[in-house]
Formats: sequence, C-alpha cells, structure tokens
Amino acid sequence: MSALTAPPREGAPRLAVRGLSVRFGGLAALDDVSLHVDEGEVVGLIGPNGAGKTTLFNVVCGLVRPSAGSIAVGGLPLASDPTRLAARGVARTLQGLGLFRGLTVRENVLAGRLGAHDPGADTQRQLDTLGLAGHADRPVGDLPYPEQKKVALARALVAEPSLLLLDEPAGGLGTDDIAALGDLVRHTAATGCAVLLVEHHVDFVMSVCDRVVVLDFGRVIASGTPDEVAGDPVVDEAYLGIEVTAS
Amino acid sequence: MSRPQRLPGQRPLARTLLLAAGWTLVALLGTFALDPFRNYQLALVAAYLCATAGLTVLVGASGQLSLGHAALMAVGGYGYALTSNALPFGGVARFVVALLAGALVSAVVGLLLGLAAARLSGPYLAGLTLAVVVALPAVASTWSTVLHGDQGVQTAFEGVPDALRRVIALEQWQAMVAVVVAAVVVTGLTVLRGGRFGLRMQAVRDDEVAARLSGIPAGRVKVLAFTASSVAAGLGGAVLCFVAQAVSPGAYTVGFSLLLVVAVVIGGLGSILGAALGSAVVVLLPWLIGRLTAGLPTDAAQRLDGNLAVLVFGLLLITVMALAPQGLHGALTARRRPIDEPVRTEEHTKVLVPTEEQR
Repeated sequence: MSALTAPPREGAPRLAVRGLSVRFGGLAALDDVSLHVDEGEVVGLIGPNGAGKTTLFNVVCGLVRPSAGSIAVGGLPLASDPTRLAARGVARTLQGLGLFRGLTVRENVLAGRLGAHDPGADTQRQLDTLGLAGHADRPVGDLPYPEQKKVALARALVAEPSLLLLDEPAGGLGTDDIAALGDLVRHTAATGCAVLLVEHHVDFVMSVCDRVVVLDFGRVIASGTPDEVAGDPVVDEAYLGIEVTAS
Repeated sequence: MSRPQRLPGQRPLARTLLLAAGWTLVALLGTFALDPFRNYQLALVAAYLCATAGLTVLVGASGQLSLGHAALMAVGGYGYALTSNALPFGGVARFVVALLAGALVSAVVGLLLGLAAARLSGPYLAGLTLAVVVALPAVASTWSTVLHGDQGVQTAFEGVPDALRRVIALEQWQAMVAVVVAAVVVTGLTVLRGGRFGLRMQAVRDDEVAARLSGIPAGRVKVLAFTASSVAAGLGGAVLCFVAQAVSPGAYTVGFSLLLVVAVVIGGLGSILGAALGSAVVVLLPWLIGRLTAGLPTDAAQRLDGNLAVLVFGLLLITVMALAPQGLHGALTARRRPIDEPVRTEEHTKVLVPTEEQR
C-alpha cells in the first residue's frame, strides 16, 4: 500500500497545509500559507478579491502546482491529481457550480459516486435527503439557481467525504436558502466531516464556522474564532481599508 | 452483497442483446425482399452506420469533434485488405480474421490519435483529425509498395458460401454480412454509452474540471472513447472494402469525412438511431438526385452529377438545423415526449438538513 492510498493517521488533522507558496510569474498568489482543519470542524477562508482563496483550493485539489509547501489529508501526503481526491475522501464544489448541463439531476449526483458498488442507491438516498427527489429526472438546467446549488452540494456529499471544500456556497442565494445552507454545513460537520469553505458572505461565515482564516495578498493575516477575527483591526484594514493606528 | 440498482438510461444487457438480435433478424429477413441494387445500398448504409454510430458517440457523448473519421475507415479498410490478401486460407474464416485485423489496426491508430486528442479540444482537435484525412493520399503514396498509392489495394473476391449459393445472391450476402457487423458495432456502442462509462463521457463533455474532481479520469475516458469510435469506423471501412473488394485513398476524401459529420448532425448528435437515419440519407440522397436528373438532357445531367448532391446536402443541413436543431431523431422523439412542468422557485424546499426519518 502506498502512502497516498493508506488509511488516515489517527489524530492527524483532516487537512494540513504547511508553508504553501504559489507564484504566477512574478506574482505571489500564495506566500507561506499554513492552516489546518480538524475532523468535525468548519473553517472559513475569507479575504478580499484576489487574496488567494480559490488558488488555495485549486492547489489542494491538484489543479495548480505549488512552488513550495506540502498538503496532507489525514496525515498523509496528497497526490497532485484531482481524479484521486474522491478516493481520498475529499469532495469540492466549484464557484461556477460545475454542473453537467447535458445530464439530469440524478445523473449529476450519480457522477460523484460512479466508483461505488451501488451508486444508484447512494444517489437516491442523497436526493431524498436534500429534497431533490421530485426533480431527479429533470435536466439540471431546468431547475432554479438555488436548486442547482443543491445539486452541486449533493454531488459533493454523495461520496460521503471526510473533507469537504466549499467554494462560495452562499453566493447567489437568498436569506432563507443561506440559513438552510448553514444548517446543512453544521449537520455535515456533526457527522465528522471537516469543512473548509471560501465565502464572501461574512455573516454566513461568522455564524457557521468554528474558526476563520483571513488571507490578504496571498498571506495569512489573521486566524481564530469568528469573534477574535471580527475584532482584529488588521482584518478591518484589509477588508474596509481602515488604517490601523499604533496603540 | 446486494445487487446494484440500474443506472438511468441503462437497459439490462440481456434485453439489449435480445433487442439487437430481433432488429438484426428483421433486417436480415428484409434482404430477401430487396433487389440486388437495394441490397447493395443496404450494405453501404450498414457500413456507413458503423462509422457514423462511432462518430455520434464520440462527438455527442464525449464532446470530441473528429473531422477525420474517413481516414479511420480507410485504416480499417487497408487492415482488412492487406490481411485478407496475406492469409493462406479463404471463405468465412478469412473474412472474420481480416475483419478483426481491420478493427485491431484502427484501434491502434485510434489509440495514438486519442492520446493526442485527449490534450486538445475544439478547433485544435478538429484540425488534427482533418490533417489525418488530408495526409491519407500522401501516406498511401509514401508506402506505395504496401499500400499501392492512389490505386489502392485490391482484395480477393469473397463470394457467397457454397451452402447458401443456391438461396441468395452476392449482393444479398454482402448486405447480410454488413448488417451483422453493423449490429455488433451498434450493440457494443449502445452498451458502452448506457453504463457508467457513458455517464463518465457525458460528464467530461460538459465540464472536464468538475468531472475530474468527481473522480472521473477525464484523459483516460477521452482516449477510450476515441479508440472505441475508431474501431467502429475501422469496421465500417473493412465492410466497405469487403463490398467493393478494394480500398483506395480516393474513396476516403475530406469531402467524405465531412459528409459523415453532416450525417450525424442531420440524424441527431449523440443518437445512434439518428446515425442510422443520417447514413441512409448519405447513401440514398445522391441516388435520388440521380434519378431526378436522369430525365434532363445529357449535358445538363452530367454537369449536375455529383455537384447537385453536395448542394442539397448543404441545404438539408441548414433546413434541419433551423427546424429541428436536435436532428431528425430529436424531432421524432420530441413529438412523443410530454412537456415537463417548469420547476417554480417558490416550490423548492428550503429544508436541507435531513429529518429524523431520513436519518
């Protein structure tokens, strides 16, 4: 058994990112970023546009190669290959939904579970859980946007991941849908799944996350509980342009 | 371990095989009702169907556009002809071995092209496949000692087996063989497209990044789809060579390659039944036009011969795309399909967290 396919090490964080740097030419998209997400924990990754949040997700998923640093899932190194993520218990949603437009709702969810013994039964269970069973055999494009978001979530959850990466899950949703999404994220974490989410909706992040990591210009500028981060003047400066005065 | 649920659109294998056997039997019996020329046309439709069925699965399901399927047919044809001529024995055994050799050679070429195709998309892939069909005459000339340049390769005559010679004519035998090969190809592609691999192909077609993140090996899926499509085209070329008893680069031009694409678009991209309709149009339209222009003065008929068919194909393509963008098959099934109720936003449930019962 190789280190990339071995079972996770006990006590190790679900995701551990150490000293990660990514350079695009002369631009440092990520600079010595370290963070971790434990089992059953919800961690929010926030920061202004261009801070490097999605780049971090892309590196974790093997879509972008880092120039330095390491990524471990369950204490074991992660191969730089997106197709192996699912086998390691990692699932991700995409900012642009990433739905398969030519397929039905059921087929979209099924696509996240094709390696399983009985993907049809797992898919039906997930559709029932998220209230999508009534639309299961409709083309996914026929559904309203919030329902499409649910389909993307269902596809990520159907594989019963141990690490869930959510890229702007609340984007484009109304107040009720955001509240329901928050419940779902908390429920998923309660089953032991580690959740790392990138989000611009600060109220959602503060209400759902156990810890928040703030990125700016590719560097971690703050991290801690939502209350600690909310009261950090460095975060105010990065987000609102408020100058920090020396005390 | 419990038996897994069937995937959407997936028929039980036994039912698919039974259905294929039934339709094949109908087609085989139908050859008795046709005159020799109609049987010859049926053999052509069956040979083209092998290529168009492979092409429609490739383009429609996996999203890879090939403009060079005529070249892959030629590869199958050359593989068949060279093997057939080299074998020391004759009869049905020679045909079967040569056919398998044609499939094998086209699989190898398809695999090599597929490896390149997996890294390309859109116009770049179309350009690569177009270059292959453009290069075909040059390849035949360069290796003229084996491929015999523009003249091509003649194959030994495969007549009706002795046991059947009194019952059926040559053209009917050729039509029957072509129908059986087309049935095998269509059944194989139907099974391939209906199962997990079919879903993987469609996922890769719609969003490659999302497919990879779902654990679908996009590159491998694209290569396999290209190889399977290439084998189908190669078998079509082998059947065409069996019917014509020759293969030459002049029969597999850029124009013919584009005609195969037109056939699958007219029939309905992604539909194997549509590919059959498109193949029938490609074979029958020039013949119908020839019949219509036969009454014209010789000079006018000669001028229109060949040219008018191209014009009509173009007009037909424009008309079908304007009136039925899903192709002929799409237009036929749309009439039967009930109109879905739209999903209203206010209807969708806000409950995302599972209830106690669901847990």
